Amino acid sequence: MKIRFRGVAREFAALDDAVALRAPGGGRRSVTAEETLRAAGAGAAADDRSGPRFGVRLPGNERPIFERAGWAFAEATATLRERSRSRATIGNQIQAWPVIVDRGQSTLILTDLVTVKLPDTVAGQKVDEIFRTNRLELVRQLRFARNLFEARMTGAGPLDERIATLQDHSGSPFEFVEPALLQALSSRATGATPRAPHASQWQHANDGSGGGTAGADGRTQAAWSLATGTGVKVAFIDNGFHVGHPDLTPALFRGGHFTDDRLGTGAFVARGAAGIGFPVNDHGTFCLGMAGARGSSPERVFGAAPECELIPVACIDDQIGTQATLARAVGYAADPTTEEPGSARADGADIIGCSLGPNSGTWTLTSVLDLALQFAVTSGRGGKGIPVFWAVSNGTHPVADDEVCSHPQVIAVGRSNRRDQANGSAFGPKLALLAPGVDVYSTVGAAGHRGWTGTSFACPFAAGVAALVLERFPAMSASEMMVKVTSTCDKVGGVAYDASGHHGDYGYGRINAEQAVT
Amino acid sequence: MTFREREYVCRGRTIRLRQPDGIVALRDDPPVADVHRSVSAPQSTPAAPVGELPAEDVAAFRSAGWIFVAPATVRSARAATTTADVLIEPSGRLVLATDRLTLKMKAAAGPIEDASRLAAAGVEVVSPLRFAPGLYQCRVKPGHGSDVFEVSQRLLAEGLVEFAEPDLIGAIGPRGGERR
Repeated sequence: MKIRFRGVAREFAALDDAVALRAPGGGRRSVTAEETLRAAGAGAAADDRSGPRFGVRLPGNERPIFERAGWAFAEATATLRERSRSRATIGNQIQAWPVIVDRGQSTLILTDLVTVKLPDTVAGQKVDEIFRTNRLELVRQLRFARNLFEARMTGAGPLDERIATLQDHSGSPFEFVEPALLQALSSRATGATPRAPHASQWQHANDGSGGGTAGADGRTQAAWSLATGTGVKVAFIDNGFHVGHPDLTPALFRGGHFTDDRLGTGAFVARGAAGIGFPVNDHGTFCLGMAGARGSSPERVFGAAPECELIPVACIDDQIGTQATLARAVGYAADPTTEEPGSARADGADIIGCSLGPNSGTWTLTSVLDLALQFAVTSGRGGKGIPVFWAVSNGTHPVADDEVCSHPQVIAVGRSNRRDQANGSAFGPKLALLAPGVDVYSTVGAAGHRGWTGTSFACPFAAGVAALVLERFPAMSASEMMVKVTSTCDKVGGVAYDASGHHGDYGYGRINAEQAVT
Repeated sequence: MTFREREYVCRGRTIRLRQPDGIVALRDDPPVADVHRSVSAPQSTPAAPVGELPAEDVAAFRSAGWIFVAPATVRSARAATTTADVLIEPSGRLVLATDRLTLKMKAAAGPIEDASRLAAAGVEVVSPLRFAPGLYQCRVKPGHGSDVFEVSQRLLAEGLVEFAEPDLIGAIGPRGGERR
């Protein structure tokens, strides 16, 4: 296939066995590639990451980029090929488009959009007439050059034939017509790994150094080719945060803090852009970084979901307070309108994490916090529910004694070390999973980084992994998330798990982001 | 140190607490009790013995500006001082009870009507909690003559609420461990 650009014919190869599909609203939060495929009846086969996906193989490495933008690729069955040819929609307004490959083996999608330039002398009704006779529909005028337009080819027929006709029309009224090919335009960062975390961040990719075991990590770096948490909001509740930390600031979305009146009825104060008056605390800063540090500073410290949005919710800044305040914090995270007049319910979190609680291991759950958790898990995210992650106690206590962590809708997280061993956190049937939390490396202070140990840090890491999952599967409910993150854990520790796949010290195993996002 | 037993109903279960005699907790607003954070610091208020209270929790409360004193001290405390009963949970955890409680109306009738019904029962609404209907943070009306445990039990007995639980103040700190 030849397509002329700037007067020169370029060679492209049509991938006849593939079509590209996209639903309205595809990309970001609303529709995943898999959902698009299923809606199009194009197959629901499990993803075989070692080979062709959904029956079609693409050259190059742009596929994850397209998929993150909501595109799906399917085998071009006779039906899909016909729909692509006629540009009829499939099912719920899904469109099928031809896939082509350039000489550099980059994947491109041919759509019905073209860029059109008419001679400067053409004006008024003549423009309309040219568009009409060539079955073009004006999309917008590009005002940086005279008579330059973006247009849509209307009517049926193969797109490549339409383009050929428009480009080679004898006596053509156009200065040029060029298809607006869709292609992956990512940053040109150098280095073997686009997002290479700090050497101390074994939690993302453990190379076995520092006494560790290679591969004993949360598999987050491996998952980033498919998801980075884009468009997913993670709220973290803690005693305070350094909201000006350069690795956190770019990720922050709304948030606020509860003032201390000693009695659990302090006022809610929304976070201002400058963060003035916001309670500061290294623990919360570290937690927030574990979930979603952006790697903005030269140390390249990343969270599990390095493109997610972070909602800092600070409360009980002197570490003495009531569960009523915690309940209000959960309520705010789930639905900001409960505390902040003028806010929107849609600004609520997609995931909530908290690493607060008595380290004694025994904690009585009050009705008010129970109601807040139920509200988040059942009513949040427009009824899909917000997964809630909570750090279990660091002592060797039964999780069941902690009625917050053992709440049936809370995902209780313990800590693993760099050798994939449980490391002295609370245990028992209520423990959901382990995540890296021993000598992990994250953000502290106004702009610093360091290592730290605690279930506190395993929890936000798991919450970050959930953000990766939600980017891939935005329709997933809170209860489905609990199944997803536990069922994809690695059975580590060299111990015998029971028939349900659970072990008292390891829960369902150590979290595996790579498995969870596929 | 002698104790008396207090109880309230939490999520359908009766929770029994031990209240030591001869000790209450105080905190000024703004907290000016920093002088009490260190045992060696000069103390203008006579401290009560805390030897039988969990030391880690006592330290956490002191760090947040609370002091533990004899009840007689309360009579001379400033108006801006918050006083709280000292209690020990069955697990051994130290908590404080003030006049605050959270309750959920059994038949929510709207904020104004609910507040009116609660006022008649000796309870003042401090603020509604908007994540569930009929859910309020309240306090026992000053001069009512009953404490928060007695009021919680009476509200339940009268069938006015689904639950009424004292807002117990406790240590809710981070679950982090050692730094590298």
